[in-house]
Amino acid sequence: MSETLAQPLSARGIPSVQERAVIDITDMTKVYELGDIKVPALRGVSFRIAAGDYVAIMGPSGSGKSTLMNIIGCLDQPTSGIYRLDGIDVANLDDRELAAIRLSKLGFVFQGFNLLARTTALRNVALPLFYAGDRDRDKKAQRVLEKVGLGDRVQHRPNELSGGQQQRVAIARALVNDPAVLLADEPTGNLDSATAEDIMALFADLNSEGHTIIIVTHDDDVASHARRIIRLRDGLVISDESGARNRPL
Amino acid sequence: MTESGNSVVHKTAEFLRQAIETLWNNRFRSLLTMLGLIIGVGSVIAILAVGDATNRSVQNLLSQYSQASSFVVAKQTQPDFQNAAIRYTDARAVAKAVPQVKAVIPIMVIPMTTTVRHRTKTITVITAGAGVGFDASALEAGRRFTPLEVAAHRHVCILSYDARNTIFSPGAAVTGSSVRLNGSYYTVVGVQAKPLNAGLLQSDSGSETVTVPYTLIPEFGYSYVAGLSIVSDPEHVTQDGNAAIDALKKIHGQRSQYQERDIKTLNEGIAKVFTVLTGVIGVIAGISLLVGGVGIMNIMLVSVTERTREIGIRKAVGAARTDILLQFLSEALVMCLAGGLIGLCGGVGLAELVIHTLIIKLTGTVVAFSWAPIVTIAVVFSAGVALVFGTYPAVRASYLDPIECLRFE
Ligand SMILES: Nc1ncnc2c1ncn2[C@@H]1O[C@H](COP(=O)(O)OP(=O)(O)OP(=O)(O)O)[C@@H](O)[C@H]1O
Ligand SMILES: [Mg+2]
Repeated sequence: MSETLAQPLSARGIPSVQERAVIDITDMTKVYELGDIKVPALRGVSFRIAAGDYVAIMGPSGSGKSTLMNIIGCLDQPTSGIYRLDGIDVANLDDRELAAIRLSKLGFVFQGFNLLARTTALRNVALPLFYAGDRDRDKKAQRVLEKVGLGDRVQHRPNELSGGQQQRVAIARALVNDPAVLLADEPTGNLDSATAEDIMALFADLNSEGHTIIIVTHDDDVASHARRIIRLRDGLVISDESGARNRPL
Repeated sequence: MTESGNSVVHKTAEFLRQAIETLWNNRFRSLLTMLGLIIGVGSVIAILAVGDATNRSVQNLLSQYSQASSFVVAKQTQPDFQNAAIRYTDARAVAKAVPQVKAVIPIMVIPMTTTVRHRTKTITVITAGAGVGFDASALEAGRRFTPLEVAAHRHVCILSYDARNTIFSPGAAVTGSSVRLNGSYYTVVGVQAKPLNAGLLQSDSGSETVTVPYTLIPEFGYSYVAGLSIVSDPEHVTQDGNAAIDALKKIHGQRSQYQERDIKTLNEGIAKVFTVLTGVIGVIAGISLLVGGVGIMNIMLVSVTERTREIGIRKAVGAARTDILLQFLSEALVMCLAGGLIGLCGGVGLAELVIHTLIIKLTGTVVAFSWAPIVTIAVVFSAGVALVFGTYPAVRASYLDPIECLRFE
């Protein structure tokens, strides 16, 4: 198991988890414009997520979960409201800084895997490290693939892997640069329950190592792994329950 | 986040490597995309190489003629040709009027008869002075005339390569032997080396010649000559030729017209032809590269659209705009350089074909073109096309919004 990945946040000189919000969202709205029609996807959302927390975002289809995740992942910008990631207001960042934030702080697991089709698992996983200019990328990618149980599939291309294996490659890619926050949009949506359990166990491990985890799910079993559940409906937070499990220290 | 220069170099090398891989995986399509550029570069290279080889062949042929000598003749069409005709005695007068020249030699071309194995044969006799005159052909054996031989009206001669082989049996040493011309005997002092093969440019008449001292002209019974050879130096050859013309006009009257020929003027004329040729090539090159470039840009724009999702994925995992820009520029660069290289090979092949089938017939000699400017042009042109026509698609790719890209089907 990788030392860097195993390193808890507290060991990286970050102050106590309770007083430090890694994600801080205030009055966030997102309105999509389809020609003249305005589609409000988020209508004023506010919450904070502490470093090291494990949060599930739930809600019916079309309630704005993916929209929210894309903004948290710095892939999209809110229409209004403030989003601070690790204390930084991301609205003020330029392209280069945003790319650097995605590289250094965020790992995103997409609902549809989003792997490069003609590229091996190893290269897919090493991709963020390539952009970070890391020359040890193949070694690190290999280690993370072993960690998600794909040590023997590194040279396979996505079309030579099962859905669950592809999902794990996507997770390995999200983890390879040791991000503070791991975002996963329906990571078990396409998987059978046994594979889903494997992946949830992996997330639990990662969380115990100090990674902040935010997952979007429809599945109550999956959500039960989280310590906190935020429920959305029609672009608003309708409930925010903590204590499904013990809060971290 | 700061990156060390080292990692930038490493990244760029990796972009180029990936670009080669991508293009190789789509090699048929890449080849079609490059076609315009291949044809453009290929034709420019072919024209340049043929032009270069031709120029060198012509220069090589001209090397037989002295750079330091100018030939002055009376113009064929003029009001009073009779009056303008150059006389043997003009040579001395011109030499006096133009003291800076080394020699003024009256030139005459006279057909004479000789006997070859008991049969009479006509041979061309040309007059010359001491040392190197207008004809700078190398000698195979013997020497040129000495000033004494010329001044003393000696009956000596220099044989051309063909004349030597006609008159004497091959292989025999001929210097010191005698040749009979119009009944008089001449001692052979030198033999010219085999001339450069001049191909179609060669005139058949001049091959069997015998050169004799010009001071024998009066003895042959001529008072008019074909022209004057003005021996000076390569720098002033045209100038001195014109000075000789002025001197002739003083003698024959201002209405008389003369013209002057020298290698320097000829070379300048050839240079002008090649300048025009270069201009034409430039226009062809411009057009073909434009066509090739637009083709490449078109396919790259299609490729950017097709790979929207890939761009989205790359951006989502942390690629900055410059990374995407460099990725697509690398692909354009690799594609254009590959196209340029193929064009270069094709162009050189075509040039070799043209040179060996056409130019060799025309000029007899083939002198290879020089590679350095041709390779440079191919590389510079293709890299230029890559940058000019690859930048817009690459910039467009780099500015795509990651989330829009990921939604793209
Ligand atoms: N690109 C878009 N353009 C216009 N409207 C959009 C766009 N993306 C999302 N929406 C709208 O925003 C709302 C929220 O969409 P979102 O994808 O966030 O829902 P979701 O909660 O992730 O749903 P699901 O559970 O089905 O994935 C929906 O009404 C949707 O139609
Ligand atoms: Mg969704």
